[in-house]
Amino acid sequence: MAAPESGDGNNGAARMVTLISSDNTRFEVEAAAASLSQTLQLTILDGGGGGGDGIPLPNVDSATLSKVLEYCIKHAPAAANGGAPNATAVDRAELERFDNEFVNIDQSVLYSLIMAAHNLEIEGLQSLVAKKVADMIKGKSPMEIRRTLGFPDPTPEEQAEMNAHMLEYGWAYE
Amino acid sequence: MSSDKSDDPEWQRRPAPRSPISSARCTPYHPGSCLVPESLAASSSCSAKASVMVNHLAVASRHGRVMPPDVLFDILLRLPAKDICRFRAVCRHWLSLTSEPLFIDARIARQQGPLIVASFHGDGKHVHLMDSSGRVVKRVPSMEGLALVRSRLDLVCVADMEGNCSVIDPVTGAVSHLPNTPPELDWWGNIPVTKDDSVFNAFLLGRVDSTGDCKVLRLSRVERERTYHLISCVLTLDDADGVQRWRPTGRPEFIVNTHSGVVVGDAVYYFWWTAMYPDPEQDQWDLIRKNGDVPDCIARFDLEAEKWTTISGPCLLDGQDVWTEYFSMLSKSSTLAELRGNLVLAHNFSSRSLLDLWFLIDTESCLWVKEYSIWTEQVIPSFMRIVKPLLLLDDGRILIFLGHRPGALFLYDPSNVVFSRLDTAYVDEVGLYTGRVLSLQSAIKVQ
Repeated sequence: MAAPESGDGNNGAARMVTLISSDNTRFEVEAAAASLSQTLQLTILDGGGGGGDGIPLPNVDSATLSKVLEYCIKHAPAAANGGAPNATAVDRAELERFDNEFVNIDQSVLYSLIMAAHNLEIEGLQSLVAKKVADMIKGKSPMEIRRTLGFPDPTPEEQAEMNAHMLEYGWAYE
Repeated sequence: MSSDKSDDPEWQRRPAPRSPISSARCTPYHPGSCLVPESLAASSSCSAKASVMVNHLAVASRHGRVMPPDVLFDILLRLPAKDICRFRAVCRHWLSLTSEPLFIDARIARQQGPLIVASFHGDGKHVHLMDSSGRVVKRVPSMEGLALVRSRLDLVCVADMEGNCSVIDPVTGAVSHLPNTPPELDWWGNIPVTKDDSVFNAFLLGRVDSTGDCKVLRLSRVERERTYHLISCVLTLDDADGVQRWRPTGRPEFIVNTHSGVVVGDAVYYFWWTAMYPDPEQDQWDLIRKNGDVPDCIARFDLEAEKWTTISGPCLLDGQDVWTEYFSMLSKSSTLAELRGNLVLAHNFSSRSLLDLWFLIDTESCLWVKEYSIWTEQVIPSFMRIVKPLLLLDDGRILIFLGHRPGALFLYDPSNVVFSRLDTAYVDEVGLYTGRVLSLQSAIKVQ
């Protein structure tokens, strides 16, 4: 149920919403920041998450949620500006610097972020982590990827397919 | 442990998915498609991190942590075309995911920067649009007999020396044939060019930033009574009055090498034609010796104002009192190019196995800066003179066209000092296409 004083959340002082992580930690955050999540946006527009209520996020633990919200808070002003077409180069550079720092993290955190960004549908964060993972696997050979993904050694038939691919697309292996 | 289903590679469980699948979002879910760690040790260096990450992917697979297909789609989409091609060999799931039209379209839509337009050697009927890895994304019908004109626009121009010139829109396939009206020798009192005159035409296509008008510059070199004359005309595509006609402009102060032209922004640049002036010190010194230390050896045509001026070249030699040598360097081993919006003079210093790229940083003051000095020993034979840089990629690599009818495309990676040849047929000429690749409808798989 919406708290009556929540209104539309568009006027007056910044409206706050509460998010509850899987381990029951409560996070109070501006509605504008939480609304970067497509999943949460509708609930928040409907007045959810205000007052004593909170929006439970059973798939996101507190460590990850705190990281996710750090991202949302940083990006909310620019997003509110409609992608900030009139943002200065300095603003943009600052966001870029923040993003680079943000994904310079332990891989377990990165994985949690990937899942959280996916579940919460935070577009900017999804791109950011996808780009990070892409950068990490760039340049690897198919065998390296297979081995490390725990695939068993290829059968002779599979090996033949891989060899044929390498023969046909030699340039991609140089 | 070994019985954990999520551990099985899909090659063992799924039939070969060679048939096209309509949507990536409908790809049969496979848990082994991409697995990510549960807990990983932090690592300081980036490359070490990557390997730690991938090592832990294996560990993670035993824990059954999986990445949704959407996420895998999103990650693979961000890889360079070359990696995508290579990763098709990882497993059939990756092969099918990256071969789907939806994936290919999304990948093309993400394409950063312009596409390469090339006319392949021996194929006069088409021009091909390729991404920076050499993958053909579209084949466009062209006029047989007309050669591709180097440009950097959302249009493609083809022409011949006889004065035929057509402009093609690769999205719609619409072709505009420009009138082939002969030039007039206007400074001789409008004497029309006759059949006895030998006329050689060269075309360049550019766009005026301020108005958005596309203009074609036609330089006609007329030989009459053993003397060369240049006639310069422009034509505005889609002119307001609906009539496309060639308007005479002034002419450059000296005869330029009509092969050397390049468009940079809304200006066109040409070299001084050394063959015309065997001894610049005696013949035409007053034409080229301006204020600076280096002579004005480059003619510039402003497409907006439709006026010719001249600018000086970079200081190629330490002691430049031997101007004959300087001009010989220009004509024999240099090309003009456009990189990053700057005019670039590429000087192939073959005796030193160096390709120097000089950037014109400031047009007003003619400030040239040598930003690259590329070691070319393994790649560029000393006799190879036509070395044209084409494009600076976002990752710092430089696309270079080497040779002449046919030539080949190379990528130079300055950080690793490595040249690699693009996997394409031999090409006669190349340019860039800056149009919206989204509107290229569908990718055509061409050999």
